[in-house]
Amino acid sequence: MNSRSTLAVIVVTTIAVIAGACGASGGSKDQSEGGGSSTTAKATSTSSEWGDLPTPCGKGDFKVKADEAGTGADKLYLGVANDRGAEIRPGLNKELWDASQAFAGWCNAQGGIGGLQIELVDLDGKLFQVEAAMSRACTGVFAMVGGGYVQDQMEFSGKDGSDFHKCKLIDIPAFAVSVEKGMSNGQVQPIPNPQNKEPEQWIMDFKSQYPQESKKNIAVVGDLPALETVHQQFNAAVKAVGGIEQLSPLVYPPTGMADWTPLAQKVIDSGATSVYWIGEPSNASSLLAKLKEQGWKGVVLSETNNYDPILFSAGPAAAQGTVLRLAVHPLEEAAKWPAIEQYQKNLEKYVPGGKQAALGLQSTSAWLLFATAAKACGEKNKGVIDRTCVLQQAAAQKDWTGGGTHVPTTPGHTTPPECGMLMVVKDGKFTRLYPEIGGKNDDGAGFHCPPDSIATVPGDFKAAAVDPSRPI
Amino acid sequence: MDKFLTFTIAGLSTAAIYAIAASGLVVTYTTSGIFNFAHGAFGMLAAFAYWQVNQGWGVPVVPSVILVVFVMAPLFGAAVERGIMRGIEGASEVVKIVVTVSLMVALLGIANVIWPPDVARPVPPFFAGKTVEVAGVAVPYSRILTMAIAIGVAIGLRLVLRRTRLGVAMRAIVDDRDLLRLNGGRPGRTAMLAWARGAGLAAVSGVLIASEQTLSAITLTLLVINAYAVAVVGRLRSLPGAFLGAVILGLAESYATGYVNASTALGPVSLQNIRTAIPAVMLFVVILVQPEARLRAHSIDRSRAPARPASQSTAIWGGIALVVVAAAVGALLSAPDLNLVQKGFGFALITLSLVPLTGYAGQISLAQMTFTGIGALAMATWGATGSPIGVAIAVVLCAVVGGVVALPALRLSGIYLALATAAFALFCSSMVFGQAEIMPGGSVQVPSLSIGGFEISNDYRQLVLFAVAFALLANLLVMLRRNAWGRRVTAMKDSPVACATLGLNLTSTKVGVFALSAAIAGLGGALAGRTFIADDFGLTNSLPITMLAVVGGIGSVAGAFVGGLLLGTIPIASTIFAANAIGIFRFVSLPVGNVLSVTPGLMGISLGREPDGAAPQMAAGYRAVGDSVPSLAVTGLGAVVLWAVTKAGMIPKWSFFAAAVVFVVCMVPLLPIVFSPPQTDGPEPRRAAGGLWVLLCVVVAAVIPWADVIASNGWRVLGIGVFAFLAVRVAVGVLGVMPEAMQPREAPSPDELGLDRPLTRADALDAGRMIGLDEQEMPAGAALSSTASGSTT
Repeated sequence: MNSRSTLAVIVVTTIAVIAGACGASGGSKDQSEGGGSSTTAKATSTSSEWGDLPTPCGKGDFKVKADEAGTGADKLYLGVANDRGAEIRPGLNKELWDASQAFAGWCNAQGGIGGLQIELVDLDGKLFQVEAAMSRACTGVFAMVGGGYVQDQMEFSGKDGSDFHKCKLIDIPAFAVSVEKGMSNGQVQPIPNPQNKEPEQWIMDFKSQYPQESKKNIAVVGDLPALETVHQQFNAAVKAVGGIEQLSPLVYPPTGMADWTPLAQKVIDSGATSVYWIGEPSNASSLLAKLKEQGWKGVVLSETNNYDPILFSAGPAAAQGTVLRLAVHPLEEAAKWPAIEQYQKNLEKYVPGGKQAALGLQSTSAWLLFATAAKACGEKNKGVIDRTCVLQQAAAQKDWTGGGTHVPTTPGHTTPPECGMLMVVKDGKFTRLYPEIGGKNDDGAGFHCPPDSIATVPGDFKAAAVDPSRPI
Repeated sequence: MDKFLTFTIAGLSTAAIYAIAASGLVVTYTTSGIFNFAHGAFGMLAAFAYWQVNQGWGVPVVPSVILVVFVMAPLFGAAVERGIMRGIEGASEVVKIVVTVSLMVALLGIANVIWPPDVARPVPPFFAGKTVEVAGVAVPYSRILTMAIAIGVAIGLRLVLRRTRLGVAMRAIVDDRDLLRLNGGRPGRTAMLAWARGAGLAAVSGVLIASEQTLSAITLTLLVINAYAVAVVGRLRSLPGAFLGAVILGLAESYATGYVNASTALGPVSLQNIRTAIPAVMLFVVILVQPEARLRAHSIDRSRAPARPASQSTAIWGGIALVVVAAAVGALLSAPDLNLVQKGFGFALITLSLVPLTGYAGQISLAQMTFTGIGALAMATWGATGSPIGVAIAVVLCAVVGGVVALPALRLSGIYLALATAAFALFCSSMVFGQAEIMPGGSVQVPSLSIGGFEISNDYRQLVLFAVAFALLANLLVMLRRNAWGRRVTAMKDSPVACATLGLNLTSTKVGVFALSAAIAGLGGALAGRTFIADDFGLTNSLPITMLAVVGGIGSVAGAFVGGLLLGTIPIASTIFAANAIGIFRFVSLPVGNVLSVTPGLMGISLGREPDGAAPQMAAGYRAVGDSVPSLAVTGLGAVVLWAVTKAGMIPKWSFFAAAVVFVVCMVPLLPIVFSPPQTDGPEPRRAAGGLWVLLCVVVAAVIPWADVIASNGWRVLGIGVFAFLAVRVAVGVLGVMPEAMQPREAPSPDELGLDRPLTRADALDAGRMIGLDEQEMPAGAALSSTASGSTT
């Protein structure tokens, strides 16, 4: 029931964002691609394109394969996984639902996908009712698009009416959290983030930006098994980059502490000059405040989930100088990136007061990927859209940027993208740290893409929910 | 040395906050006898109120603090005492605990609605975070202030309690409430003042914590749970003891953070999580060294459910009916609703585990989900293929663990027992379910049961499985309750000292009850066939289980079922109403879904008025049906007809819902009157007219296309409710006779019989029946004279 006041789960929400937003970046190599042009292009997105991506929407006479149509074949019934009805955390990851509504509005105004109107099916899992939401999806939707559950391992209930695989569902999610979901099949992530791989770019750049501070690093990890996975990914990347001494990690109770001073003191005593933080932004701000109070001068590095105004909970001064990684273009630079600007304008138009966040951008990319794949399928198969074809077409995309929303990726791949960027907190605002636009290592879209820079995380990852009988 | 000093100062500062919070707990406990589980929530609410006043409305710091700490919080505390706590004075410990726990849950829900958690609400530190150098360590002024406030509180409380008339009155309440009243004291008013003061102290701790870190409803509420351990050091009554406890806990936490490394291990067990477990360990240790609680000679508490235990035949037929109804309704539900109802049945199994423990034996456990977790883990480990052997191992393991946990708890009762089980739950959360080796990724998938190749592979089968398991266990419990063991258990509840005097072995009885209860909870986990996350097994999820079990009516298996189903079906209700978020069904701009989220808490609070829970009240209305064969037949036939026409698609689901509601609340309870034998005295009911009318109402309810007539879910439900209410009112008018169940009835507790008037023979027989004696067990002539007195239950 609702009263389940689950603190720890809250912290798991962290991971959603971490896992989701961060993985980013992809098959960059020669990034002259779309990105370059979009840097300057101030093409105020007309409805005929999204950023630099020609619109996948429009009129037509597509049909959905009859036995996969879900609620009906008259429209495209698409489910959006989200947790915004969570009683203990009202509005959790609401940006996913907002972004999906905005995209559906934009696409339907052009006639839908091949003439099929998008009908959103709300798969609100409320943190604890994922199974119930999945049973709605099982018979109600053609595909799941642009969403994600904080506890996405619950999608694999093993039961006939609700298990993702048993229902033969497909998913183009905004993010994946658990090993079960992140490394499963039947899905294509626009920004792949398998738990057994980790990009090295952000560690490299952190090292180059803070050559002194990065030398001695201490990880401060929330005391939850799920956060440990993120920690392992970090460790693998740090080892691969080399030259960073990792001190014995510190653990804190994710439900918070009455006083963060002892932990701050512990960081200082360890001699660490930099901290890698895994956890919620509110806890981060508490520790940051105490570190500053005790006169520590080092740098804190954290995951994308801290790209959130909650980081300023203990006042903007405490968060000053905190570094975090991004794989999407920052919302602060909307004026530079047409896809971001379009996301914002579209949201204002279709969902006034909707929430803007990194996960909203990832959701939008997932929607664009789905629409692009569905269009390709319809054109290839005489107007019939089916699940397997959509997944295959989505996986076939190369240098996918969601119209210039994020780093280039290879959605079908099991490796994360190589590109990314770092942000830093300055005077209560998030600003670009590296690479500078047009500066060294800029791929032309404001990201740094070191080639062959994916670290492998040790472990067996047997938990992955793979159904070998599925074609993709 | 610097390092040591820093940790010491930090520890003392934390200790100061704990001490302030704990002294608030002590003040309320000593004067009202109620251990306020919602104390942390009071502090949390105060912290948010402070943010609202100071940051939201821009009032300067000092007036804000004064307004919150000296005006708002005390008023709130006094209102809580007057409105809720006074009602449960003299109620059993279980009811007291459940009411404060419910209050905590409700306050958390309210805070989430008023201050949505997706916005940063910085509370600037006092003195703008300025520090002063003490022996080479930077100490913030705010920390010195915190310690100064704690010392001030200590001195102030000491003076108030020893030197003022109010303090004397407060201490007098502790010693002898009745004597105080005889001497012209007003315990009620004093308790109100004590609650006001307790809330004020909670507010101080809340504001201090919030200024040290960030404003988060759950964090603030739970941090104060640590103060429980602190207060127990002073045996919940001594302020100096509480301060000592605060210093110990504050320093222990600080040093543990400072000196225990992730690599520190005790044999195979990593001590990495020890920091999290310290309050639990301390609570447990302190409780263990408590002197043994005196055996209570007697107690007249209102929670003694006067309902007679169900007879075995009722239990058997009830069990069969439950399985049939579950199978029939399950076939009608939509997939998502089926999933939720199925889970509700699963929860019912876990609340059932509290029936022998709390309902029969009067013991308290706040760790039922912990046992569920152990059962789930055992099933995942030893029954990976879904084999029933895994279930058996899970049940046995849980029984053993339950027995072991019960051993230290034997000496305890009431609030100490509750706190000991809470400590066990907290300890397991961090040291068992929080270990990556035990629950990789923080979740465990319980394999679906597979019996001889028949796999429980979907929600429908799962629902039936739960219903069957519940029916069997409920029968087992009824059987146990009615035999010698059951009487011994209830006797132990009623008067441990009498039992001991008679030579009954309390130890084995208590251990047995605990083991049974843990085994049932473990079975609930082993049969669940779904994925759990570590947090499902935490204290915060055990609390609602206990709460709703008591709301449902802990004394009976039916009550456990109501409680469990509430847990499962409230999400359905919030789904139905969710669509109304923007429509007319807005209540001070709150979506109805949010209002529903605080409902369980509010239901628990309402126990202050109805300590017996919902099931006995409901049961009274339907009991007569069981005694009338034609009524039973018509009920069964009606249910089958309703189900059949719905299944055949002749009427839509909403019409089925409406007809079922009218059928259940209007037709069924009135059937015994329609079919009653000719009256010897009193007016004859108009049977034919009444019967036709209720039938008509059900048919009309089934024929109206509700979904088309009323567009909004919320209004539709309301409309159906009004229709059913009118139907029943008119039916009663047509019949001309008020059914017994609807008449206000004052059922005196057997404990109180003979206190207000001379005890008659009929009273004695009634009392015998109430405590579950069968007809043949009563003195000769019982049946005859009770019929004559006309007061059959």
